[in-house]
Amino acid sequence: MSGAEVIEEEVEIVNRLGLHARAAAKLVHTAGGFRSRVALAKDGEDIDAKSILGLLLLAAAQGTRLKIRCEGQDEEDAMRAVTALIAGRFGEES
Amino acid sequence: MIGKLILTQGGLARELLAAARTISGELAGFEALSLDWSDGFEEAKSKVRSALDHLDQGQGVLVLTDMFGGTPTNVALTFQHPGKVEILTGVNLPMVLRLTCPGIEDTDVTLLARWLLAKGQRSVGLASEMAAPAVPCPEPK
Repeated sequence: MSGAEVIEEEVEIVNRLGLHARAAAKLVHTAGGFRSRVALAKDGEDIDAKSILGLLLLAAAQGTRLKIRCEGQDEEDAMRAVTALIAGRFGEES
Repeated sequence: MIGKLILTQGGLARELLAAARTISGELAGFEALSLDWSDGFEEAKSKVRSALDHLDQGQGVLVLTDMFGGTPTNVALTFQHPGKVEILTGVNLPMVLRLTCPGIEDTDVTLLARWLLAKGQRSVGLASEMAAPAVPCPEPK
Protein backbone atom coordinates (compact mmCIF):
# COMPACT_ATOMS: atom_id res chain seq x y z
CA MET A 1 0.00 0.00 0.00
CA SER A 2 1.35 3.40 -0.94
CA GLY A 3 2.11 5.66 2.00
CA ALA A 4 2.64 2.87 4.50
CA GLU A 5 6.31 3.60 5.01
CA VAL A 6 8.57 6.60 5.07
CA ILE A 7 10.42 7.24 1.84
CA GLU A 8 13.80 8.90 1.97
CA GLU A 9 16.18 10.53 -0.52
CA GLU A 10 19.42 12.41 -0.15
CA VAL A 11 19.86 15.69 -1.99
CA GLU A 12 22.48 18.39 -2.24
CA ILE A 13 21.75 22.09 -2.01
CA VAL A 14 23.18 23.35 -5.30
CA ASN A 15 22.12 27.00 -5.54
CA ARG A 16 24.77 29.54 -4.62
CA LEU A 17 22.80 31.24 -1.83
CA GLY A 18 21.88 27.96 -0.12
CA LEU A 19 18.63 27.49 1.76
CA HIS A 20 18.04 31.21 2.34
CA ALA A 21 14.74 32.88 3.23
CA ARG A 22 13.09 33.05 -0.20
CA ALA A 23 14.23 29.53 -1.07
CA ALA A 24 12.93 28.25 2.26
CA ALA A 25 9.59 29.96 1.65
CA LYS A 26 9.30 28.22 -1.73
CA LEU A 27 10.10 24.90 -0.09
CA VAL A 28 7.46 25.50 2.59
CA HIS A 29 4.83 26.27 -0.02
CA THR A 30 5.79 23.26 -2.14
CA ALA A 31 5.73 20.90 0.85
CA GLY A 32 2.54 22.54 2.08
CA GLY A 33 0.77 21.49 -1.09
CA PHE A 34 0.84 17.87 0.07
CA ARG A 35 -0.86 16.10 2.91
CA SER A 36 2.19 14.00 3.68
CA ARG A 37 4.59 14.86 6.43
CA VAL A 38 7.74 16.24 4.78
CA ALA A 39 10.92 16.51 6.80
CA LEU A 40 14.49 17.51 6.12
CA ALA A 41 17.41 16.23 8.11
CA LYS A 42 20.96 17.56 8.21
CA ASP A 43 22.61 15.98 11.21
CA GLY A 44 20.06 13.37 12.08
CA GLU A 45 17.40 15.72 13.43
CA ASP A 46 14.18 15.95 11.43
CA ILE A 47 12.99 19.47 10.62
CA ASP A 48 9.43 20.07 9.48
CA ALA A 49 9.66 21.27 5.86
CA LYS A 50 6.39 23.16 6.33
CA SER A 51 7.99 25.49 8.89
CA ILE A 52 10.12 28.32 7.52
CA LEU A 53 11.89 29.03 10.82
CA GLY A 54 12.90 25.39 11.19
CA LEU A 55 14.29 25.32 7.65
CA LEU A 56 16.28 28.50 8.20
CA LEU A 57 17.75 27.05 11.40
CA LEU A 58 19.20 24.21 9.31
CA ALA A 59 21.69 26.81 8.00
CA ALA A 60 22.10 24.74 4.84
CA ALA A 61 24.65 26.45 2.60
CA GLN A 62 25.53 25.46 -0.96
CA GLY A 63 26.99 21.96 -0.95
CA THR A 64 25.08 20.81 2.14
CA ARG A 65 23.65 17.32 1.83
CA LEU A 66 20.20 16.81 3.30
CA LYS A 67 17.97 13.82 3.73
CA ILE A 68 14.35 14.31 2.71
CA ARG A 69 11.78 12.10 4.35
CA CYS A 70 8.16 11.97 3.21
CA GLU A 71 5.40 10.02 4.85
CA GLY A 72 1.75 9.92 3.93
CA GLN A 73 -0.65 9.07 1.16
CA ASP A 74 0.90 11.46 -1.39
CA GLU A 75 4.50 10.94 -0.28
CA GLU A 76 5.84 10.06 -3.72
CA ASP A 77 4.41 13.19 -5.34
CA ALA A 78 5.72 15.28 -2.44
CA MET A 79 9.20 13.78 -2.80
CA ARG A 80 9.23 14.43 -6.55
CA ALA A 81 8.15 18.05 -6.09
CA VAL A 82 10.61 18.81 -3.29
CA THR A 83 13.62 17.17 -4.97
CA ALA A 84 12.81 18.93 -8.27
CA LEU A 85 12.64 22.30 -6.51
CA ILE A 86 16.03 21.79 -4.83
CA ALA A 87 17.70 20.39 -7.98
CA GLY A 88 16.22 23.30 -9.95
CA ARG A 89 18.04 25.75 -7.63
CA PHE A 90 14.69 27.04 -6.34
CA GLY A 91 14.25 28.76 -9.69
CA GLU A 92 17.37 30.88 -9.13
CA GLU A 93 19.96 31.55 -11.82
CA SER A 94 22.98 30.16 -10.02
CA MET B 1 -9.47 32.71 8.39
CA ILE B 2 -8.06 34.70 11.31
CA GLY B 3 -7.10 38.22 10.23
CA LYS B 4 -3.55 39.39 10.89
CA LEU B 5 -2.85 43.06 11.58
CA ILE B 6 0.70 44.38 11.88
CA LEU B 7 0.41 47.60 13.85
CA THR B 8 3.25 50.03 14.57
CA GLN B 9 4.11 53.70 14.54
CA GLY B 10 6.08 54.95 11.55
CA GLY B 11 6.66 52.84 8.47
CA LEU B 12 7.77 49.70 10.34
CA ALA B 13 4.49 47.80 9.89
CA ARG B 14 4.36 48.52 6.18
CA GLU B 15 7.97 47.50 5.64
CA LEU B 16 7.68 44.30 7.70
CA LEU B 17 4.75 43.20 5.57
CA ALA B 18 6.57 44.21 2.38
CA ALA B 19 9.59 42.12 3.42
CA ALA B 20 7.40 39.11 4.23
CA ARG B 21 5.67 39.43 0.86
CA THR B 22 9.01 39.59 -0.95
CA ILE B 23 10.06 36.37 0.74
CA SER B 24 6.83 34.46 0.89
CA GLY B 25 4.66 35.84 -1.90
CA GLU B 26 1.19 37.37 -1.70
CA LEU B 27 -0.29 37.04 1.79
CA ALA B 28 -4.03 36.80 2.15
CA GLY B 29 -5.66 38.06 5.33
CA PHE B 30 -2.75 40.34 6.31
CA GLU B 31 -2.82 44.08 6.67
CA ALA B 32 -0.23 46.60 7.86
CA LEU B 33 -1.24 49.74 9.71
CA SER B 34 1.48 52.32 10.19
CA LEU B 35 0.19 54.96 12.60
CA ASP B 36 1.53 58.49 12.26
CA TRP B 37 3.77 59.59 15.13
CA SER B 38 1.50 62.61 15.47
CA ASP B 39 -1.74 60.58 15.75
CA GLY B 40 -3.57 61.17 19.02
CA PHE B 41 -5.06 58.26 21.00
CA GLU B 42 -8.60 58.69 19.62
CA GLU B 43 -7.38 59.13 16.07
CA ALA B 44 -5.23 55.99 16.36
CA LYS B 45 -8.14 54.12 17.90
CA SER B 46 -10.41 54.95 15.01
CA LYS B 47 -7.81 53.74 12.49
CA VAL B 48 -7.32 50.50 14.41
CA ARG B 49 -11.07 49.96 14.71
CA SER B 50 -11.59 50.22 10.97
CA ALA B 51 -8.65 47.88 10.25
CA LEU B 52 -10.07 45.30 12.71
CA ASP B 53 -13.55 45.58 11.18
CA HIS B 54 -12.07 45.12 7.76
CA LEU B 55 -9.96 42.07 8.70
CA ASP B 56 -12.40 40.19 10.92
CA GLN B 57 -14.18 37.51 8.95
CA GLY B 58 -15.75 36.05 12.07
CA GLN B 59 -12.74 34.23 13.50
CA GLY B 60 -11.09 37.26 15.00
CA VAL B 61 -7.88 39.16 14.41
CA LEU B 62 -4.35 38.66 15.69
CA VAL B 63 -2.66 42.05 16.16
CA LEU B 64 1.14 42.15 16.07
CA THR B 65 2.53 45.33 17.60
CA ASP B 66 6.03 46.76 17.82
CA MET B 67 6.55 47.44 21.54
CA PHE B 68 4.73 47.05 24.81
CA GLY B 69 3.86 50.43 26.27
CA GLY B 70 3.79 52.20 22.92
CA THR B 71 0.65 53.80 21.50
CA PRO B 72 -0.07 51.01 18.97
CA THR B 73 -0.10 48.41 21.76
CA ASN B 74 -2.03 50.65 24.15
CA VAL B 75 -4.67 51.34 21.53
CA ALA B 76 -4.88 47.70 20.45
CA LEU B 77 -5.35 46.61 24.08
CA THR B 78 -8.63 48.52 24.21
CA PHE B 79 -9.95 46.01 21.65
CA GLN B 80 -8.49 42.87 23.29
CA HIS B 81 -11.07 40.14 23.77
CA PRO B 82 -10.25 36.42 24.24
CA GLY B 83 -11.12 34.44 21.14
CA LYS B 84 -11.75 37.63 19.17
CA VAL B 85 -8.79 40.03 19.27
CA GLU B 86 -5.39 39.15 20.73
CA ILE B 87 -2.31 41.34 20.77
CA LEU B 88 1.18 39.91 20.51
CA THR B 89 3.86 42.52 21.02
CA GLY B 90 7.51 42.63 19.89
CA VAL B 91 6.79 41.66 16.30
CA ASN B 92 9.71 40.58 14.13
CA LEU B 93 10.11 39.27 10.60
CA PRO B 94 10.39 35.57 11.57
CA MET B 95 7.04 35.85 13.38
CA VAL B 96 5.34 37.32 10.34
CA LEU B 97 6.90 34.68 8.09
CA ARG B 98 5.84 31.87 10.42
CA LEU B 99 2.24 32.98 10.00
CA THR B 100 2.53 32.37 6.26
CA CYS B 101 3.34 28.67 6.63
CA PRO B 102 0.68 26.02 5.95
CA GLY B 103 -1.10 24.16 8.69
CA ILE B 104 -1.18 26.91 11.32
CA GLU B 105 -4.02 27.23 13.79
CA ASP B 106 -6.65 29.23 11.99
CA THR B 107 -9.76 29.04 14.09
CA ASP B 108 -8.82 30.19 17.59
CA VAL B 109 -7.00 33.52 17.76
CA THR B 110 -5.92 33.05 21.38
CA LEU B 111 -4.30 29.68 20.60
CA LEU B 112 -2.65 31.18 17.53
CA ALA B 113 -1.24 34.04 19.61
CA ARG B 114 0.22 31.69 22.22
CA TRP B 115 1.72 29.44 19.56
CA LEU B 116 3.31 32.38 17.74
CA LEU B 117 4.66 33.75 21.02
CA ALA B 118 6.72 30.57 21.45
CA LYS B 119 7.94 30.72 17.85
CA GLY B 120 8.87 34.38 18.18
CA GLN B 121 10.85 33.80 21.36
CA ARG B 122 12.81 31.04 19.66
CA SER B 123 13.67 33.36 16.76
CA VAL B 124 15.82 35.62 18.95
CA GLY B 125 19.32 34.52 19.86
CA LEU B 126 23.02 34.70 19.19
CA ALA B 127 23.29 33.67 15.55
CA SER B 128 26.53 31.83 16.32
CA GLU B 129 24.65 29.61 18.75
CA MET B 130 21.56 29.00 16.66
CA ALA B 131 21.60 25.55 15.13
CA ALA B 132 18.85 23.20 14.13
CA PRO B 133 17.05 22.15 17.32
CA ALA B 134 15.06 18.97 17.55
CA VAL B 135 11.69 20.14 16.29
CA PRO B 136 9.25 17.28 16.20
CA CYS B 137 7.35 17.14 12.95
CA PRO B 138 3.58 17.08 13.19
CA GLU B 139 1.89 13.84 12.22
CA PRO B 140 0.27 13.90 8.81
CA LYS B 141 -3.38 14.96 8.94
